[in-house]
Amino acid sequence: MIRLSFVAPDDGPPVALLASTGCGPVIDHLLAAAGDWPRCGRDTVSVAPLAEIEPAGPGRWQVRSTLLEGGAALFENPLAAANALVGVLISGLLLTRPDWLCLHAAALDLDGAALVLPGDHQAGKSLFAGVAAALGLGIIADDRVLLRLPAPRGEGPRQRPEVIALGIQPKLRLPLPAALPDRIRVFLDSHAGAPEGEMRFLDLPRGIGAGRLLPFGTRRNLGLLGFPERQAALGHAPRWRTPTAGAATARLIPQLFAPAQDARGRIQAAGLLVAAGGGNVLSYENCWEALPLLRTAMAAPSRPPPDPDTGDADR
Amino acid sequence: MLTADLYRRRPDLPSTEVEDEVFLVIPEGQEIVHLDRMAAALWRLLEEPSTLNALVDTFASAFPDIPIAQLRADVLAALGEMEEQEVLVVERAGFGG
Repeated sequence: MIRLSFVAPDDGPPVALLASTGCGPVIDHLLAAAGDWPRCGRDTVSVAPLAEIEPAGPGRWQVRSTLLEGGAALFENPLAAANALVGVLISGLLLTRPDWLCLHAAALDLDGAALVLPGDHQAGKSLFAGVAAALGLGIIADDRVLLRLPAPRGEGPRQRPEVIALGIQPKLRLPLPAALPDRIRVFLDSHAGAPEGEMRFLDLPRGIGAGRLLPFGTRRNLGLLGFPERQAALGHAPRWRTPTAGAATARLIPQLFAPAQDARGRIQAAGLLVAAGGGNVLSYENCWEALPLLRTAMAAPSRPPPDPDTGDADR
Repeated sequence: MLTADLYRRRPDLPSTEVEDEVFLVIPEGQEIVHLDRMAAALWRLLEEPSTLNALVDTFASAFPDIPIAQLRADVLAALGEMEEQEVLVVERAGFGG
């Protein structure tokens, strides 16, 4: 039996997994996906494991965890099992810190602030991240974005929501768009990582700066939150539209994963993120054409500063 | 639907406001219901149970330039949606004892 214990960001309690002999391929993929997650030493055996993984026949692995729907899941490829374990680890982190949440989103590093693009499955988040890397932005995440909410009023200095990098490589859906400009395609091909079915990981260098994946634990204040909405044959240049704050909040709630929060907590968290980040909708056909608009928007906040303590109307 | 039908809020729903819109939580399953501005305004008006006519009259006072027929249709549509979302209780006139 192998125990893998990871240090949590922000000095939170560590999270751990247990793996039986024969789980090497899954562990290899896990450690590749979360390549710079700091490991704890052997003395962390007191940390209860979040998941146990064991072989379930040739080329199959079973993951058991109370954090998985149904308590267990069977995987027929090691990458998928590793991906599930990353999800379990993130859930474990979130359960230890009620002021943290996870967004289904891409997050880019632009001039030291986080540009967060929440979206459904196949909304184009990962391509946005890959293209952004090719065009000189840093990448925080392409799928799961860890955020820390600011302290409520009266509990320390007020801050903006903070994005915490998890150091997980982006994963692109293949084939890449035919219209992709050559220089972007060359960049993505030259940073190709492991394939996973119809997907392919990128293998970006870790670090701060253009075309890099921000290392685990790096923090960025939330600069802009915008919903990418890809439309084929858009017929006009990329443009923003501004939904009401309530509509933007309603749009954000399904993308938000906060197991330590009840429904009201999720509403308040989403409302706070919209107030801080804008919550505008970006209509676009090609993400490489939309990036200049994102740069402009980052420089011009579109909603007033957040105030999590007002508008709460318990009746 | 009769004009004497009485609309009232379902009483057990926690509410949270985001600017002038309202979010309700359905206790069974913790489902979140978003009320847009129109529905949120109705929710506020229904702090006291009310009829369709009374609700339309209130909207007509606030929006005198909008034809009554349009206001009535909008209010009715919003009430219907809120009823489907199970955030309203409707006491039907002319039924039962």
